[in-house]
Amino acid sequence: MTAALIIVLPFLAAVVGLLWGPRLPFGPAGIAVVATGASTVLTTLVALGQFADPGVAEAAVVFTPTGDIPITLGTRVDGLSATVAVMVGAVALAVQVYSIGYMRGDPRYSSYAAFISLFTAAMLLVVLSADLLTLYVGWEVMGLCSYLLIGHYWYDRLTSGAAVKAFLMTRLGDVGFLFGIFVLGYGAGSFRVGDVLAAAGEMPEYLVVLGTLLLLCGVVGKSAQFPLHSWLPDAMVGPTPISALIHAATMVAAGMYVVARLHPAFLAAPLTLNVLGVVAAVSMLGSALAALAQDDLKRVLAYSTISQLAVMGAGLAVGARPAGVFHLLTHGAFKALLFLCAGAVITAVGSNLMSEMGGLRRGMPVTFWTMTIGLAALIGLPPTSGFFSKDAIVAAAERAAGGGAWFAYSPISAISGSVAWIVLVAVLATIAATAAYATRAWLRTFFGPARFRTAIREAPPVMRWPLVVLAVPSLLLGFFGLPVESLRPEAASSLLALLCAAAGALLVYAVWRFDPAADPVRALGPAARVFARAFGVDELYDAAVVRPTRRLARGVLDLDLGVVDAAVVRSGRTARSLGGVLRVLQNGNPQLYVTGVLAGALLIVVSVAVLS
Amino acid sequence: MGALTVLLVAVPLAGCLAVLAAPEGAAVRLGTAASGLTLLVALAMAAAFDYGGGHRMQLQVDAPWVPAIDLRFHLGVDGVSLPLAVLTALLTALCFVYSLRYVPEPGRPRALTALLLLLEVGMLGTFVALDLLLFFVFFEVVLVPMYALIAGWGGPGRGPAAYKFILYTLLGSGVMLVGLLVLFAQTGTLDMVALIDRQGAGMASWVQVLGFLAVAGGLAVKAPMWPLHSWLPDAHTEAPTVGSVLLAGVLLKMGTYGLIRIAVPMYPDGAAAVAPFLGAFAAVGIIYAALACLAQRDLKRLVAFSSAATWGSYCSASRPSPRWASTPPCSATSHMASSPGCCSSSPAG
Repeated sequence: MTAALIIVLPFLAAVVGLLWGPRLPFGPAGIAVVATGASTVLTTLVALGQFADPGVAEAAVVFTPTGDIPITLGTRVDGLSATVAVMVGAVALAVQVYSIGYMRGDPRYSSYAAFISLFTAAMLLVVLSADLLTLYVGWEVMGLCSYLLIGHYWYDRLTSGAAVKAFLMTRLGDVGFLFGIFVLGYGAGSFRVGDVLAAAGEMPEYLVVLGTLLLLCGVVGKSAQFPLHSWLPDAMVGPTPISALIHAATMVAAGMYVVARLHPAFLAAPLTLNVLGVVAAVSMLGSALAALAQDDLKRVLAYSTISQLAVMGAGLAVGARPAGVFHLLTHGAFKALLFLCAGAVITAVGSNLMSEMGGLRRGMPVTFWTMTIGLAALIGLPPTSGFFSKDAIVAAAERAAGGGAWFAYSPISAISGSVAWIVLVAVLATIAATAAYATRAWLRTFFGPARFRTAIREAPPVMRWPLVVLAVPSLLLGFFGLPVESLRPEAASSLLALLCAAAGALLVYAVWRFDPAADPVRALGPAARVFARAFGVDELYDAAVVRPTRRLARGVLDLDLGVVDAAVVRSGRTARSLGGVLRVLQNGNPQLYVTGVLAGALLIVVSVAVLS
Repeated sequence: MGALTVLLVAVPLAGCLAVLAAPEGAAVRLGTAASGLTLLVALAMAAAFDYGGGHRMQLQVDAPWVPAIDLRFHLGVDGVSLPLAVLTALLTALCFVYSLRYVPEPGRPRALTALLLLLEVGMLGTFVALDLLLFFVFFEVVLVPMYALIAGWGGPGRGPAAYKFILYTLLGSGVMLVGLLVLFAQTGTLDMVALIDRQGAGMASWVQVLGFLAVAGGLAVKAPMWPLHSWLPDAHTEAPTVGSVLLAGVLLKMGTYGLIRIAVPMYPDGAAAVAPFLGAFAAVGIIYAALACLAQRDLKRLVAFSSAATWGSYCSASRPSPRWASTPPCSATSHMASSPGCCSSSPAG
């Protein structure tokens, strides 16, 4: 009941806000903040209840008797969904409050706030749903909301293009996702999450593998993993709070959440785990390198999101569900913080580009310190939250890769040894690259000579407070994992990770020290250009998919006019010209008609005479 | 309760006649009232409907009409036709509300209103008719007002578009009539309920295939199925907004409805034999029309092609199966019932 209310409250806020937003007593912001706040309080209550009395609480009613497998409408509260729901609620609340300041004076703020509420409701539906098909409803509503919100400045061509791109690329994966739900649902004889999980072990292996692989298509699209990742950096043209919402708490997190939700099914499908591992390895390292060469601060964070989600995916692939989910939570906190800090910097400077920032630490102390915490958590420096969660994943990857000699620990994942090695190496390389790009962003934004001309002022309180509030979990959330054994830092893995991070950070620092005004990425030489274009994946898609499809569409249109329709039109003309031949006889000349009649009569008479 | 079903057709017909007698200025308001009343009748039918027995005909009237050819005035609804009838009434009423504020060039609101109401008679009649000849008559009644709407109130290219519409769809109707006559010749009855119950018993397999081809082929023009769709973009582009709405929202659904109601259950063997080809055409149609949409610059043509693409989905949803005759697939119906909302609201915008 409470769980249902958690979803319904923001949904109602969205409906009311869309219909009457500007005419409400406290404006559109009032209802959005109150509903999201109430929902967040409820999630906290539910999570505390789970903490006191762990277990699975399902409340469901049969919704649609389809004649086949019924679709149920219900909620499922367990440790996983309760904790993720708290994270979603808290980040959504922070974004709503922050938006009051950030979107001040925007003529369409009302619909903007309502769409965020709808987005939150949809994400909470994904998190708390007890049925895969209702989960899918939330999943698709999020896709729609992301389209609407990324395209908030739709009159800009770049923006509307990015919105369409985000929608289409995630939809492409969603086709697979839906069919994955069908396969698992038919395999288990039910779409209920609990039933599917219970049946995952008994289903024929090909069904589980097929179902999870199809689900993985949707996850790859939603969580922006290679090869469906390129919508995410482009989506940065939307308002910055939206980037925080999409990249921290909702949308991209939903993909990894579903893998965690159905983890037992994935564990029963070794092939899917291997694919997930390879996809994650490619995504994390590739996007970390791409982040290293971006000049746009938000694009740095976008690529870092892809990279960090891949780290979660790697954790799930090597069988460490607690570690993966833990990283999802800590990432939700520190990435939301980073985006909101970036928004504060961008509004102060008036540009997204780091080449027009620098030396901001004096003008914006609060933003500087909170962003420092966020970046430290992103790198994984102790004692920030990122250190704990990332370390748990490194340790799990080590175990899966055969580090059992050190730990005498049997791997719980069916992932193959070689893939586990790839994952481990990729994670360590990613940690080094992450430290490098985070250090570069930190130095380029807050240190060195100032490269802007406006007077710098700290962000207004309504934007500053969410930063401070989010900085607390970014710093301290890691300690909440200590009671769980698998989330405790291990000496070997944390040492390894810290060494990698230190190498990356120090390297960038050394290059930067040489010339604080210049971009340290210049040291990479021509490779920097390749990284900046993200290895040309977009150009490849454009040449391989977009342009051929456009050509084909134009061809179809020509075919339609030139062949299909022309056949119809020409048959009409042919009928008319045939009629023209016959019309020669019907020329309206009575003499001809009379002659014809006489000739006919003569013919009949003659033939009668001859034949008789 | 059968009186409601009669009223559903009689109210717009009476409205049509009343409008012809009314002054020019009051015509649209009178038409709005008539269509509103029709909507109320449709809602009353929805309220009186027993949803537990959605698979059988309800609210029936069955009276002899022309006994010489065994023609009966047989109307009724079941779970398939009821939502479509309610939807038709709703869309027509909405069209009238729109016309209250805006009558397309060249005006003449009385004629426009009368034609729209006549159109409604035909559309609703098609969905509630349970006699094949009656069905055919209602089906044809729709064509004439729609032709007049396009030719009278259409855009600059209305002449050719209206001709193409009427000739193409009449050709389809002719072919369908052949298929219906085959049914009558083989079974000796025109009663649709009886024919559905027979499930093609007593008809040779090749007769069924030919009969199905005729009926489905005729309906495919109306649906429209690729590659018989080319009348639609022209008709859509040239038709006035209310015409486009009803064209996309209702007329196209009549073709698919006929397929579900007549072609498949009455010629089950034929349907089973032709289904793969129908499915292939539908699949090609979905992709073809989607690609045509992608390259389209004219919004109304885009809507037209999207209608054509949507038909492909109905058709793939309504693939025949052994359970078919008794339980028409709800997916196709619900899809049909949901799509007019989106398809027909776009021309209005």
